[in-house]
Amino acid sequence: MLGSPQLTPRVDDPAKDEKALVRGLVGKAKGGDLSAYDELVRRYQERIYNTVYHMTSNHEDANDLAQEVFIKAYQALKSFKGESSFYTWIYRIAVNRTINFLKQNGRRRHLSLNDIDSQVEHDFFLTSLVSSETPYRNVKLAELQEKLNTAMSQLSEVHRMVVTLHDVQGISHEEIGKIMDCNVGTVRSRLYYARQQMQAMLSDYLT
Amino acid sequence: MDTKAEEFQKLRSLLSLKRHEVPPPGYFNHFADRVIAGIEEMEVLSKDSLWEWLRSRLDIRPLLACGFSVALCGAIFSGLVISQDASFLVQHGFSPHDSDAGGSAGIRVVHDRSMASSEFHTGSWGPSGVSSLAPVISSSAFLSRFGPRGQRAIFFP
Repeated sequence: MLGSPQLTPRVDDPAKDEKALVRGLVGKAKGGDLSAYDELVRRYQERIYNTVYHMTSNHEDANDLAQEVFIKAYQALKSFKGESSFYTWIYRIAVNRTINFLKQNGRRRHLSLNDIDSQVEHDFFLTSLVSSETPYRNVKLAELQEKLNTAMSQLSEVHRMVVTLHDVQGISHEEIGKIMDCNVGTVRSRLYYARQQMQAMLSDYLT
Repeated sequence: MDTKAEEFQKLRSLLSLKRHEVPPPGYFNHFADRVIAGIEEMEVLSKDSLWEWLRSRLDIRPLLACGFSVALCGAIFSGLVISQDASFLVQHGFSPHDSDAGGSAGIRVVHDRSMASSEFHTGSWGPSGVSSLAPVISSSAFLSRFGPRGQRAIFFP
């Protein structure tokens, strides 16, 4: 065996490939390559938009803020040292920008909700909450949607953010801790408190 | 607190409705394009603002430029006057090295340059050259040309 290279089977790790790809795109974007940054935006646009939308419950605000987040991120890209993933870093920008926006404009805002997609028909729990009669279902769903968004808007910004990131977007406690720059215990306690609050506000639908 | 996850199971199911809220169809098709356009616009604006800043600085510059040009003209004029004086001395055979014959940097008071130069050439000040301690004092020609204020000090290193 001496002299012959030891061959190990190559195992493709999509997560590693993805990280390497994103790192490459970030490197190019740092050098001013807008097409690389365009690719990064396409990768994260839905997640960032949805986070902002679920926080603001307003499509127009979410549109403006999400664009602003990506523009600010590009301008700040030189300060990105790669200590965290690009995903965490840009989420952090989105979270901070959205919380600041809500603190400044919270009282003057109104709901501007997006439509509910047709996939909701496959959600047994949600369909069981509303009338089974087709003509009323959409009305009931829209009413439920409004109640849900109103309840979320009653939470403080940080509690709303934890609920959005964990219960709506499915991000882990650890990742939320990194994004919100707090420890996991804080994330858990905020989540618990926020859920309690929402449970009380939406008790009509949860009994 | 994950042990209490079941407590909130219904709430979490209800919250899943949020995942079904979607922006208008095709919204994300041009989102990245709008971001890139925004970045390019910001870059142009930052360049414009730099230009505006420069222009605003230049608006107050004329005063500074005027002062600077006056000072520069003064310096040039002084330089011309000094160089004319120096050429006058050279034309009459005065050399800075001659004045340093005493061995040290000195100050010589010259009243009559024509006389001083002729004395240098004839060596009438003695074999050891000119002593910096023995000023040449003459009055007639110089005073007639420049008056009493024509007396000047010439510095040589």
